[in-house]
Amino acid sequence: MTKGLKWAADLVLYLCALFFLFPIYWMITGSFKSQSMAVQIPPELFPSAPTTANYTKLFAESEVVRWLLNSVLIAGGSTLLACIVATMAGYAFTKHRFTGQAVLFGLVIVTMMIPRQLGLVPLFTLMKNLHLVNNGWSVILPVMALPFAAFLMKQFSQTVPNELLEAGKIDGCSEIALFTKLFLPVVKPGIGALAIFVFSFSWNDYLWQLIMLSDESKMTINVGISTLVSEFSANYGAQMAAATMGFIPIFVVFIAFQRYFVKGITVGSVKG
Amino acid sequence: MRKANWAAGALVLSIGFMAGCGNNGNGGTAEGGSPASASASGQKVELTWWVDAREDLQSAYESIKGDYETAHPGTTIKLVKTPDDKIAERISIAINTAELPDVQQGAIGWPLTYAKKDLLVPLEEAIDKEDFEAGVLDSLSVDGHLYIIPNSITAPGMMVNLDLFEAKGATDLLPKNMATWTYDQFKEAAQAVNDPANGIYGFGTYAGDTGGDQSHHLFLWGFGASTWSDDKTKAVLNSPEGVEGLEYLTSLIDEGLTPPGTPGLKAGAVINEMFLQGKIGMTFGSLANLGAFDKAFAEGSAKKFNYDIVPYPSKDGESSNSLLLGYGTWVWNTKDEAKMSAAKEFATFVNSKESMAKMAEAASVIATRKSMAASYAEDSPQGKTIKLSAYAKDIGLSIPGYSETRNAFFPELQAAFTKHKTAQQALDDWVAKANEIIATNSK
Amino acid sequence: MPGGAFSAAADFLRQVHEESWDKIMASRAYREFWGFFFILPFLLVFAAFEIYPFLDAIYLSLFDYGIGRKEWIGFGNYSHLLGDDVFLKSIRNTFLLVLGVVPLSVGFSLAAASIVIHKSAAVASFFRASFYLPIVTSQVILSIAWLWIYNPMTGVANYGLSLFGIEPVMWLSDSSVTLVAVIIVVITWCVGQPFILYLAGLGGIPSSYYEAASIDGASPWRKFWSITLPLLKPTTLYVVVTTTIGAFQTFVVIQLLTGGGPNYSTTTIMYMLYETAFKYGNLGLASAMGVLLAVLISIFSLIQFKFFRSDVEY
Repeated sequence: MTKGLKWAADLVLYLCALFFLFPIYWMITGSFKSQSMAVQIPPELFPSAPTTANYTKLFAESEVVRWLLNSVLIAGGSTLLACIVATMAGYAFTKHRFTGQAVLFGLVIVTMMIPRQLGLVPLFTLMKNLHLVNNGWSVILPVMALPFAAFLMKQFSQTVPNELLEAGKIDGCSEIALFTKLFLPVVKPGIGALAIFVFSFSWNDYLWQLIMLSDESKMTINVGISTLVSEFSANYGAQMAAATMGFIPIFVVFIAFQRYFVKGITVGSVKG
Repeated sequence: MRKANWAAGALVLSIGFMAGCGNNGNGGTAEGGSPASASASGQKVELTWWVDAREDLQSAYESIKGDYETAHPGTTIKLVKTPDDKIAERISIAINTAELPDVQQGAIGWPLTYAKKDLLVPLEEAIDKEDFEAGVLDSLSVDGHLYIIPNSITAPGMMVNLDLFEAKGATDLLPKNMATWTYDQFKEAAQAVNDPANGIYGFGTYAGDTGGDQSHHLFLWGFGASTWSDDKTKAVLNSPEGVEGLEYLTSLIDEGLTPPGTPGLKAGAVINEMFLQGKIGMTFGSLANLGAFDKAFAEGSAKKFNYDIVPYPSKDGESSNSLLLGYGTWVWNTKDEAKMSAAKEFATFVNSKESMAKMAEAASVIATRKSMAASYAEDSPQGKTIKLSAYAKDIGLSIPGYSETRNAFFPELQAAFTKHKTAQQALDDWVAKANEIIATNSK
Repeated sequence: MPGGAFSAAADFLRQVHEESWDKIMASRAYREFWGFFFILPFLLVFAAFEIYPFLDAIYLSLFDYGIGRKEWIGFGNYSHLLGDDVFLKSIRNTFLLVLGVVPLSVGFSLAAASIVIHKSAAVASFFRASFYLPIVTSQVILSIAWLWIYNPMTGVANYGLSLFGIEPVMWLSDSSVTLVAVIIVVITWCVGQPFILYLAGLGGIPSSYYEAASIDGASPWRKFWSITLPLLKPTTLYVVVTTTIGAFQTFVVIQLLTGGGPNYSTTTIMYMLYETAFKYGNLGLASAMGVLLAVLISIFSLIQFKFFRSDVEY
């Protein structure tokens, strides 16, 4: 490849990266623009008179803090429970034998392909019958049932050497101890990757949360923010402030756990 | 393959059974929304009251709630502010999950479509009818029963940015003292202020979603069309008059008298962004919008300008058209008799003279009681609105599936505006869809 | 000696004890119990919240099920859908969306990864973060930002075009353009995952392969076609399938940006499903849509599997 072509390709690539980052930049800077500045043409690349009025309005007129709290609780709860359930499942699939094992795992693979939306309507009726509407559990339970979680943990569990567990058995470890003391430490990276996956999934589980959590005080951050789009209809600055508030927490998580994000993606896909 | 599989199978079946039990027959209201159940008098009752999200009314709502609780110890009102956003889904989901509130205060366009499904409680016994306009009560009734008690009804008209007309020396083109006018005069006025080079457009219209679609019906009515048959069983907008009206409206867009991107613009953007920022000469609106403008001027988010509201034009210039927009109270049928009668009592209270006076303190509200109408000056926006309401026709709130017909309407408008369909085709298609919707929802 | 006999007896007892203990340990019931113990929580939630809803959806789709009514109509919902112009349009839109998003996202990711793989770790980190950040940011938030960007009068997209002398585009009001506008937005959150995976995949190809090819006089293009692409096949298969499934399920951006319009040009099956179920309360019809959507996705995935003909072990 000629040097010139390489240079051009690099430039295009950097421009593309900027294109991907731009909406986020625009959103954050926009959140500090007053309503009239926000609709000014030509638009300012950087607000000349930044204001925090949009944030004040946001906190005064909506339950943003509560929504964030709800998201954290629900995503956190989902993550914790999904990890427990999936890790146990991965252990069962790989280190144990039980009847119907192959069938169940086959079902896991098949349901991974089927869009969750197929079950939307029955799930809705089910939650109504369980009296879980407007209740965080209605959102947490389906996430615990994600087939991908079990699949991922099965992949990770396969890397735990059987000899390790056998040695434990010979030493007289109880079944529970085998799981907690010998198995868990080895699959920890897998659990970490799964935790990141489930947390992001739950945080961004917009549609289902939209349907189940219609009480303003029960909404999660993404659902709450979406209701503000029409409420703040002409006020782009305020909309951006709302969007930014929803962005910051997950961004912080991403920065803190970036390694795990990447690891989670790569390991979950293909072996080698 | 034996034991574990049977266990799993039994598990799935039993869960299915559990969920299936609730599916039989009714898709809707089984139990009431709140846990507390009691008799209407004396014992503890908790009523859930959903209210709309208008900022300037929240304090009135709180005050009404407080007054009622003081007068009826033992009754607590759970006040829930619900955003307008996706309200149709919210109500639909609440019906399907038996989470309906006992009493709801909201826009009159929301609930009537459920009247025929026995989901609303008749309220004609709950108010002193003489103090309300018969015509208004009529539009809020279905099959002779009143379902919504109106407490702030406005009639929309054409909002005008007077400053823009003054700048062009064209204020004479506008009707004076709420006189009626013709479409030709209207077009002349729009052309006078139209200034695309400066981003100013004569007439603001839109078809991005269902918002403001009433404006289009009004426009077509001015040509002599009607949306619904007199017995409210069919859509009839595709009459020759309707087609003429739609073609005229489309021509305004073609001539550049409307903002760019009209088919995809939303009412909120046109009214609250463009008109408010002084970019539009005339557009559909009502007292509520004028109130919001005053607020924006005060907050400094828009530069103040002089506005006015005038009647919608008509072909012969002898008449005008308007419709009813506004808010009212209704009671849901939650199948809990005791709660429902308590809810009815509360609904009456919300619409008493004293409560309405509280609500009327907000500028965007006109009290609906006849006894309170005299308090408005004739040339005030409120007075003008009362004049406009004399022209009000029924937009079809009680049509079964009304909101679904609205969802089918704006895409047809978009097709007509973008010339994908002729006006006749678009209206024919909408009428066919609307009649299908009515049929499905009348079962 | 008594001590010796004693210890011999003890030895004998221990032997017997250990044998039965081993027997118990090895017994089928014991293994079953523990296997079942660990799989039980997953089994319960999976059966209740994945399997049951999917089966029930198929069942409900055979009913005219709405507010206050539930009647058996067999394939009535399906025949209605197949005769419904808007639904057929939504199928077309869904396909267009998928065909627009998937090749562009996957192709771009591969191209980008091929360039970035030769850069330093810091640069790779930068690109990884840039492409992945939109995925971390929820679709809701990005849609809100793009709503403003696409505003015909005050949005920065048209302003940017005006700098090049291009007329403003009615991104969300012109039915010939709106789907493209949506595709652009969707691509921004479909590149991150493939990019990271391709980066990892490319990193796993031994440079000795390329060196050997160089010795044989292969051009860079030849190397790419004959070495890189085939070795990346498993990654490509995974990436294509997951991006496709994701694209089929696009919802938020349509709800917030276009409401399915203008003129139904961005109404996808998913969006219709939501409106039918939760705006109009027609649960039977919505279930039928869900079934058709699931069938479409499965067919697509099967075709993709066949096409890439990978023998990836799961």
